[in-house]
Amino acid sequence: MIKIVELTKRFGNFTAVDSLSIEIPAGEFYGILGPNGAGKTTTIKMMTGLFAPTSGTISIGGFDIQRSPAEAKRCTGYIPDQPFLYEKLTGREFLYFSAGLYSLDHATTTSRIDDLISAFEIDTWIDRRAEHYSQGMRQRIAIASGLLHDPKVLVIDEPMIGLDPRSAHVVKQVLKDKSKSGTSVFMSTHSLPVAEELCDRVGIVKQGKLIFEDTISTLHALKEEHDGKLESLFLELTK
Amino acid sequence: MPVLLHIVFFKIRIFFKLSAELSAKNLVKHLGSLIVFGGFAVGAFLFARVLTEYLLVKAHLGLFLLHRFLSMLMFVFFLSVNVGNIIVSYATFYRSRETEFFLTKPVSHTTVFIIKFLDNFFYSSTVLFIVVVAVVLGYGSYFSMPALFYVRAIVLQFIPFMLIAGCLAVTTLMFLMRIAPRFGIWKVIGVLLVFTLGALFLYFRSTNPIQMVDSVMQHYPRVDQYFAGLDPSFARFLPNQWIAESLYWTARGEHGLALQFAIFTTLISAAAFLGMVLTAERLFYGSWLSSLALQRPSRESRSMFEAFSLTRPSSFDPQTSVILRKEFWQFIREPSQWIHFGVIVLLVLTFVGSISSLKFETPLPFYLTASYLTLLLFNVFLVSSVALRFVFPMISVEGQSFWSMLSAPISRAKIYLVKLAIALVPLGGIGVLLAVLSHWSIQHYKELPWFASAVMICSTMTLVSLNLTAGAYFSDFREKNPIKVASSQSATLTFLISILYMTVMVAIFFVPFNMYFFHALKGGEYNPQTLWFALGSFVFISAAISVLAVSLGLRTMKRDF
Repeated sequence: MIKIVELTKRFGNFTAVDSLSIEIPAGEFYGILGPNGAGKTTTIKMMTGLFAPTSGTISIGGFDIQRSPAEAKRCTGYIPDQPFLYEKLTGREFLYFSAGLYSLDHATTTSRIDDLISAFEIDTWIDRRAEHYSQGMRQRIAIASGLLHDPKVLVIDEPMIGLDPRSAHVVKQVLKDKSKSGTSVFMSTHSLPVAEELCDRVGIVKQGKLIFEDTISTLHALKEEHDGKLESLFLELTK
Repeated sequence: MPVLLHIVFFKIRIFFKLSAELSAKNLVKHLGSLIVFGGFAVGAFLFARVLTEYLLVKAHLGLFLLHRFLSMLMFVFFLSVNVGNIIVSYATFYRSRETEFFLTKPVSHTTVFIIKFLDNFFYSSTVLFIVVVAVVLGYGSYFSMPALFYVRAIVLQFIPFMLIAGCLAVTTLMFLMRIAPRFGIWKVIGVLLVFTLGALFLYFRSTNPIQMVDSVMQHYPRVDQYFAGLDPSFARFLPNQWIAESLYWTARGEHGLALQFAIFTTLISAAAFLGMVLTAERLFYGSWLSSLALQRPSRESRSMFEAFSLTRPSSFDPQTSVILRKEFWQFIREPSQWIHFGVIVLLVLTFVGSISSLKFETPLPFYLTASYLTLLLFNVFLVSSVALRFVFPMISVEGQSFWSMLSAPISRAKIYLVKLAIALVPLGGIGVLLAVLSHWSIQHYKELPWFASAVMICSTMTLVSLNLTAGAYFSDFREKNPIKVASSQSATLTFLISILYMTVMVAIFFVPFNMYFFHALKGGEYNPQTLWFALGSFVFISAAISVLAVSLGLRTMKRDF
C-alpha cells in the first residue's frame, strides 16, 4: 500500500533523508522512531506532497506522489505534528472545508462529521472558532479531518501531542480499529510505549538513514537481551 | 531599568541580525525598499518645496496663512497618527505572543509596556518619519535655513509631536480596553469613531479656513504679519499649532520665539510619555486581562451571510466552493481586513465623487494630455494600492494551516488560480467603476470611457497577477497579520515593480494622447488608429507581464512548504 524507494531529501549540503526504502502492506501499522532531526517529519512531508523528494519515489495505493499527486493524496489521510487550523473557522467548518477538498458530497460529509464528533467527544466546542482552541482540541479536529474521507493510508506525525489521557485512549482505539479494518498506518512518534502498544512493525531512523527495521515481536525479544526496557534499546541503537 | 535595557539590547541585536542576513533575495528586497522610500522622500521634498514657493510667490498667501494651513494639515496628521497608533497598538499590546511571554517572566508590567510601546512607535512611525524629514528639508530649503534648523525641527518638534500622538493613542487605548468588557467592544469603537470625526468637524468649523483667508487678505500686502486674533481660543492648546507657530517665527527670523515653542513641544511630549507610563502602571495589566475577556470563546452565531456557510451544500465544484467560502469567512471574521477594505472603498468613492465633477477645460493640448494621463494613472494607482494591501498577502495569510490544502488532492495550480479569480473579480469591478465614473465629466470624448475601461481591465489583471505571484514568492507563513505582510520589504519591492509598469503605461500613451487632444482642440490631420495602436501595445505588454507572472506564480506554488 505504501512503497518508499531510495528516498532522499537534501536541503543544500544537508541530507535530511538518505536513501530510505520502506514497504508497508495493507492493514499494517508501521511506526517510525528516531531522535530529533533524524528525518521522520521530512519523510512524512514528502509522503503527503508538502516536500518534493530530491531523488527516489513514493507510491501510495499504487500512485506515485510526484506523478499522480491527486490520486495518491485522495487515498491518504494526513495528521500533522502541529495541528494548525484556520483560526477564523470553527472546528465544524474546518471539517466541511477538508471534506470539500476531498470532493466528498454534502450528505456523506454531514454523516461522517456527526460520527467523528461523537467518536472524539468534541460536540461541546465544535462550533467555536479555532482561535479559541487548546492544543488538544486542535489535535482532535486535525485527526478527525484526516479520517473524514475514510483513507486507505494514514500518515501520522506525533499523534498524541497535547492529548489528555482520555482523548489519547480514544485516538489510539480509533487508529487500532482503522488498522484492523485494512488501513495502512505510517506513524512517527517519540513515545516508545505508544509504538509498543500500536505498531506491528517499527523502523528506527538516524541521520536520515534507516538503521533498524523489524516486527514489534522481534523488538520485544531484543529488548529482553538488554534490560527489558525499550528505552535502553532505543538509546543503544541511536547512540 | 537594567531589564528594560537588556531586552532593548536584544531586540536591536535581532533587528540588525535579520537585516544583515545576506542573500540575493534579501539584497533585492533592501534595494527595492531603498528605491521606493528614496523615491517617496524625493517626491515629498520636491512637493514641499514647490508648494511653499507656489503659495508664497504665486498665490501671495503670506507667511501667516501658510503656517495656519500647515497647522490644519498637522492636525489631520496628528489625528491620523493617533488613530493609526490605536489600531496597531491593539495588535502589539493585546494580541501579541511576545506580551504573553514577557508577562510570564519576572519583568514588571510597566517594563513590558514600555518595550511594546517602543516596538509599536518605531514600527508605525518609521515611514511617516521619513516623509516628515523630507518635507522639513523641502520647506527649509525654500527659506535657505541653516543646518541647525533641521536638527531643531526634527528633534525638538516633529519627533515630540509624533510621540505626543502615540502616547495619547496608547493611553486612550488602555482606557478603552478597560471599559470595553462592560460596554461592549463595538460601542467603544463607535464612540472612538464619533469622537475622531467630531474632533475633525469641530476643528475645521472653528478655524473656518475660508473666513480666515478673507480676514487676512483684507490686510494685503501685509499678509506676513501675525494675526493670532483670528485663531480660535482652543488652538493654542494643540500640538499642531505649536509646530506651526515655531515654523512661522523661524521664517520671520525670530529664532528665540521659535525655540520657545520647540522646547515647549518637547517638554509636553516628555510629560505625555511620563503620564502614559504612570497610567500604564495602574491600567496596563488590567486592560490586558480585560482584552482576554473580550476574546472569550462563544459558539458561532448565525449571521446575515448564512448562505455562504461552509456547512451548507453547494452546487459548484466542491474544491472551488470550499476555498471560496473559506476565503470569504476569513475576510469577514478578521476586522482588520474588512474595516480596512471599507475605508479604501470610502476613499475610492470620495475620489470618484470629486473627480466626476472635475472640468477638463484648457485650450492647451499638452496640459489636457497631462491632466488626463494623471487621472488614468491615479485610477491604476488606486487599483495597485488595493492589490498590494489585499492580494499580496493572500498566500501568506494561509499561514501554517496551508498544510490542509497542500496535502489534499487538489492541484497547487488550482489553489493559485482560484485565489487569482477571487482577487480579479472585485478588483476588476473597482477598476471598471473607476474608469466609468471618472469619465463622467468628459463624456463628450466618446472613445475615452471605453479606452479607459480597457486600460483598467488590463492593468487590474496585470497588477493582481503580479501581486499574487510576488506574495507567493515572498510568502511568510509565520506572519498572521495581513497588514504587516502588505507593508513588508517584499511588498515594497512589488510596489516598485507596479510603479515601473505605470511608468511604461504613461510612456506608451503620452504621444498618442497629445495628438488626440491636439486634434480635439485645434483640429488638423489625425489618424484615430494611433490611439488604438497604443492601446494594443499596452494590452500586449500587460498580457505578457500577466502570463509571465502567472507562470512564475504556478512554479512558485510547487515549492516545499
